Amino acid sequence: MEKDFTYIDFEMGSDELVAKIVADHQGWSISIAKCIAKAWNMDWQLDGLDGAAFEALIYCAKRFDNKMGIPFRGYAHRRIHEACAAEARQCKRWQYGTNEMSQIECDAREVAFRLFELFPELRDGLLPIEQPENESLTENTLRGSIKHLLASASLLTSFQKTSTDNPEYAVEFRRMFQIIANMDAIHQMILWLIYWQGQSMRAVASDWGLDELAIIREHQSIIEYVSNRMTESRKAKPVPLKIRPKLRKLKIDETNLPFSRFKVASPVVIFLLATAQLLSNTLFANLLG
Amino acid sequence: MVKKIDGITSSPSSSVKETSATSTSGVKAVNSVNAADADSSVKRVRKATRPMTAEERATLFRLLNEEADKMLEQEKLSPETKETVKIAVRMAIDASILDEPDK
Repeated sequence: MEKDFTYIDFEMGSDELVAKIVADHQGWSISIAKCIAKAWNMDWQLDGLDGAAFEALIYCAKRFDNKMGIPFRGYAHRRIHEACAAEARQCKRWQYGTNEMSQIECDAREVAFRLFELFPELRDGLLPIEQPENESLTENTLRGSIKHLLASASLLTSFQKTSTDNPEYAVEFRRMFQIIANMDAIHQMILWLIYWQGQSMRAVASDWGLDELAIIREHQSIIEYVSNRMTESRKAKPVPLKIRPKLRKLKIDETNLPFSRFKVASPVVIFLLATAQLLSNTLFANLLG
Repeated sequence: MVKKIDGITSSPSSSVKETSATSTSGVKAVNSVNAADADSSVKRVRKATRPMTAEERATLFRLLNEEADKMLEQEKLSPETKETVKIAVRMAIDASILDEPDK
């Protein structure tokens, strides 16, 4: 990585360095806020994204260590983006939308926000795909990357919608759940914990005593598998997804997996199961309330 | 007067090996240090962030629409759900691309 010599004469955390970094990069940090606001139909000033970007810029400037050999923008981009996105999520416009498509827009924003958590490289302006060394970005690699994002967004949407009190969504997403139900127990649990329970990959790895990279790679494989299954015809025989050696040692209780009921169930059965689940939840809530 | 030494019948010890004298060869000229070739730069697996041109952005979103139609066609999802998925990915990509030049 190329070394940034701009701030070599300054002491880390000094007022002079912070002032110079802020002066040099204020416009750049605002452009990140504007970019997020534009994509999510928000106002970068009224919704407070400029303030979040500025705060994050100062925070990064205070902690920037030139000796690490990382250029300031490389160090700060992800953090400023994260701060702006978090600020956007807290404002009122996030929940209410701007036009007649407000519900779709609000749901899409929530899914987009989660996509940034699942694919942090997006915050740096990179698409989530391994680009082979010495090869330029081809249309196929772009398509592959977009397919990953679409598969992940579909999973997020399916979990987001089925968490509402409408059993019809369980039928709508039955194929998706059938694909997941036919996967290995470990893969089902990874999807359940990350997409349904909203846990980070680091937290899942920590709970299972693994390194984060193992879960990140397994998640990539799962998403690739799901996107392939979504595009191929229904009659095609699926090739089972292999489990990495590190994950094979894990012992998952396969008797009560969250998606097992969708394995062979017909739409009618799924609808009845979802309705029964909903009624029992309501009943328990009334009893407890 | 020089006395002649004789009577040595045994051969030289086998542990002692003859070694050839180290010969020296001529010193070659030192090559001068050249500037690195343009091709020999370190190539990163991923490209650095840079603003996208309007044309590149349009291509990216065209691919997104094509792939979304292809992928979600198989799923019997409602039009609203398909739209949610498509808009979500579009929003995520759009929010990650800096479209303003550095100030």
